[in-house]
Amino acid sequence: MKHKIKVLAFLCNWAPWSCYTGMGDLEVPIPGEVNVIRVMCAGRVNTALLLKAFEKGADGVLIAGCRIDNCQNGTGPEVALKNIDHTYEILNLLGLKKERLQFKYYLAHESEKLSSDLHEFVERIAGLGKSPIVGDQGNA
Amino acid sequence: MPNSDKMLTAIIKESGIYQCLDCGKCTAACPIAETGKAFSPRLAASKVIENGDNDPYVQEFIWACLTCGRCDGRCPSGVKFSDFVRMLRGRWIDSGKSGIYSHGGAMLSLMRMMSSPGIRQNRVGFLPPEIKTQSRGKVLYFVGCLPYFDVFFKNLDLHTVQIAKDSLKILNRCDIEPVVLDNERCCGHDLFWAGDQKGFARLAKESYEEIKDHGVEEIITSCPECLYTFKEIFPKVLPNFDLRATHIYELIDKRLNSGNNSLNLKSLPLQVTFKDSCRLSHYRDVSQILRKLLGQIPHLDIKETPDSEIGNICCGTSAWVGCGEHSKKIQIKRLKETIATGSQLLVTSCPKCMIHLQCTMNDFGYNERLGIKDVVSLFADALE
Repeated sequence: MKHKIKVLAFLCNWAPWSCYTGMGDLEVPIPGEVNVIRVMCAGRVNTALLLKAFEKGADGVLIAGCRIDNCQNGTGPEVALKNIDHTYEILNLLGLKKERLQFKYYLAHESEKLSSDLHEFVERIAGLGKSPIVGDQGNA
Repeated sequence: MPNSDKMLTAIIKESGIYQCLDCGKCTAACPIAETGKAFSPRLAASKVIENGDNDPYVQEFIWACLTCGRCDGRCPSGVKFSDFVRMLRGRWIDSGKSGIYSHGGAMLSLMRMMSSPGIRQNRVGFLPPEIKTQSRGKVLYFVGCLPYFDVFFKNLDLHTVQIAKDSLKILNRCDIEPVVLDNERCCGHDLFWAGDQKGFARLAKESYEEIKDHGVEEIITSCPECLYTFKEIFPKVLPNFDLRATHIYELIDKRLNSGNNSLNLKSLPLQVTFKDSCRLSHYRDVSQILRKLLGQIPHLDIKETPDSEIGNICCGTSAWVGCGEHSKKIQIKRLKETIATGSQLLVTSCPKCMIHLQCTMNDFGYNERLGIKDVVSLFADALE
């Protein structure tokens, strides 16, 4: 299991987190490669945090936000998409494939969609293989 | 200070803190203290000697210091305050704590990622087709962080890669077709000054190997921090470091002195003010060469401000450590001084000065009265 891939999922506290807790209730499987971080809004995940995730050794990063017309804060998903586009440009310079970073949106009841998206994303990242970045090497 | 703390004792010895005479010239020279912050290098020094580095004053001090080196230059006892701060930051990070970084630490993340051996970057997409470069050769043009800056600071609408384009144009004019690496790794200046010693050592090793793999013997750069790092730091970290580092100003100066007419200059009727960079003004004596170069451009009127050359003040933040109220005050002071000279153009020699000053210019509307350009670009404009 030494070369197992690592996927990080940032879940917005509202709809995506509700989907995530629902996954437990429905006993929908969660892929073992996924580590979840709950954030107050998908728009809160800025370029620096995304880069930090890759620096620390994530092979793929998924941001799960609410549907664009359903955001508690108004502009969360739009800001998230803007941040992702900004990060794509940096990943391109770094030589990392943009497929390693993805945004998905959810309504509160879509646990099965979140589950299948996570599985699909893990499969895609496994296809791409490990990121060329050596993960956490100590210093912060 | 606990006597058993050998590491702290070593830091104090190495930076010469015991030689501090408590004269206060450091505080008088400090750009941060000048903006009104209760900020005193000598007080921090004596607190570290007395109580170690767990003191809250010291902890705030080490992340607020600009490491610009203005105090180092003034200290009559030769205390190296900047190095002192850098080493204390290293101790802080080694203890597992996170530093205080601007832009969420993104720039330092990029540098750490570049220390991965397997990474294959695509950073020379900006190269115009008319620029001639080679894939192997003795001379390398080291681009530095410029392509990343332009993407990361997109909102500032700055084009720092123009510095690289203009440098390469000048090098081609001098019949030099340098190597430009698609997978160039950062010089690590900021990791070094932000205290990430292990990260810097890893990056320096990879960076050196990448350069050596292309048969390079000499590095030419247009960035003061890259120059400083290659000249001063790499040889200390890599015992077998054997590359020569030259600033592009030195190269242009040599060419002009040798009567080479490939660099004929045309008239540039402009009034400009020059902003020195910390690493050139305090650490290297290239700032004189650069004034000499600008002085050779016909009809270019250079108006200096009080804070120039050895009196240069920092652009407000360095090594991506902290940027706050006092950084802004320093920037506003520098911009107001420049506008008071009546110049239309502020000429910088470090891309970071450009980024930080442009940010404040945009925020406070100075951009309507003042433009900003790198020395290399100004020189390239003056080429016939």
